[in-house]
Amino acid sequence: MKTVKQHWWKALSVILLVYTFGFSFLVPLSPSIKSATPSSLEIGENKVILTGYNTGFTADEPIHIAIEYDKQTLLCGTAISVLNENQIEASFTVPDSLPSKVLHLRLHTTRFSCFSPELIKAFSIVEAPADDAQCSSPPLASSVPLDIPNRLQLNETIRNLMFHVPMWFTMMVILSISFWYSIKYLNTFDLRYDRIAREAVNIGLLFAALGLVTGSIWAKFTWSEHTDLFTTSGWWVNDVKLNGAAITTLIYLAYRILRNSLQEANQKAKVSAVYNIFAFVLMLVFIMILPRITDSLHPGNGGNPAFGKYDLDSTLRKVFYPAVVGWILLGIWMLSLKKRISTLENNLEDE
Amino acid sequence: MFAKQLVNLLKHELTLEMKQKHFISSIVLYIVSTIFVCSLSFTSISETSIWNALFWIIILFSLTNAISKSFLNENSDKQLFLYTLINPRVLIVGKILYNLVLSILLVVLSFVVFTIFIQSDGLTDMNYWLFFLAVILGSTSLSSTLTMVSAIASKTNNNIGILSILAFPILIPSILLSIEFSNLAINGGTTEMAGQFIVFLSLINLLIIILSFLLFPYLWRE
Repeated sequence: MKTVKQHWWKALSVILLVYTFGFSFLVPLSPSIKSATPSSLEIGENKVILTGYNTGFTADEPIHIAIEYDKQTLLCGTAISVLNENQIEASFTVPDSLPSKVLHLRLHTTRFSCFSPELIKAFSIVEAPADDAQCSSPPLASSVPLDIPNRLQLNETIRNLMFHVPMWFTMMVILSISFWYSIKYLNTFDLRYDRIAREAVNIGLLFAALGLVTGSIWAKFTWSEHTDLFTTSGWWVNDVKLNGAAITTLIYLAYRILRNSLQEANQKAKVSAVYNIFAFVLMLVFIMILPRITDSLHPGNGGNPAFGKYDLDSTLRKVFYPAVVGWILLGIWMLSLKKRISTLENNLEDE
Repeated sequence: MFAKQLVNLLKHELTLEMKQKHFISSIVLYIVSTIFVCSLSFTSISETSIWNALFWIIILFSLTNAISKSFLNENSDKQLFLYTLINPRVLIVGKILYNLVLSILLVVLSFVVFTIFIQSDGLTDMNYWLFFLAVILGSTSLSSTLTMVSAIASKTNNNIGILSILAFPILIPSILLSIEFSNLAINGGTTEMAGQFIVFLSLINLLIIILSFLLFPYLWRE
């Protein structure tokens, strides 16, 4: 019973991470239309080929396509023919009174419905709202299957959300623990606290490295045009959050170098605790102030929609929050193991 | 008591500086020769933001050099004795104040030399008072951070190398803010437009001084 009381959180961490990995890698992406050729409509009849992802069209199912602007249906697709499981051809007849706008596309079948914002452009002479077209719609699917949202540009990389973002949360938690134990050390001069602070920095650096790697891969395939793996461009962009990450990594690498360049254990502990406190506070200031004066490509900054808006829908929330808790608990578990190892090593040295 | 010790410490620092004139002259020469080397590479910079960034990089390296010796003397026994007579908090405040005055003098000198050697066409609508304020606030946070970190670095053998490694990452926020702030001043911004820079830089400066004040005694007991 005592074991259960002491170690339940480790079991929780394992369960949450298994859930996270299972969900992130096994659940398919929701069907979505990714591109339209030609991507701009002209007055008269247009034959447009729509390419989707995970759509699985079949020739005999009813498909309904509407082009919308501002929640108003403007055009309906007619003469829809299925080319293959991910491609359909539809024809749109554009009247001469369509607003010259970037339009959204909505597609329904009996199995799923999807919405692709800003997919197709229309140009016409008269800037006036068209008549509210009413398209005949097939009955909607009664049960929506479990899937991960499929966003333009993000595509499959959305799964990285469960790995990249929790890395930084975990790093901040672990570094805060280090900060706390450095303060405790300066109050008591007990070397045990210094060992915890040191090991926490090591674990924090590991999570920072993982965060940088996962973020770099994500940036390469969403923000960059160079998605070829063997080019150097696109792995890094100049963004305030990336700078914050780089600075944090540099500060704690410097902390390790400072420790290694001091000899005597008490002096090492005292000097590095002072630097740890000084640097951590200034790093927090950086993370809080700088995003206020500069834009970022990250969600929630510089006009980009925040997590709450549509990036993190209710399906993703069900995995994202457990993932964060799971990774943080894993970090703390690693820290407790490292603490025990360093205590044992210290005892060996003393003998 | 605090004020009296502080005044005595500043007097002592000044006498030391006057005795070792070679030190201050070497820093001045360092600044002039760095700027001269830059002017050989680009005599005129059309882009004011590059002109500004170059200016701050030169200031960063000059001040790192100038302040790295703050706690170098303490290893001699006599210095150690003198410094144990006073409160360590007086010592860090005194060192920060002294380095602040030194940095402002060096930065003003760098500005004069820099504008003489490296021209930029876009400097005509510069708001000089605002630029001066940016330089003062920026060099305050540079000099106070560098003073505190040089106290940490002086505990190791490789003083200036460790100082740069330890100080540069934590200096980046204030450097970035100062560069943005002085860019605004160069483009003819007004004090109202610079409000958030003034507030943030002052807050960072205050925070650095409070942290140094709180943490230095732990370093000093070593």
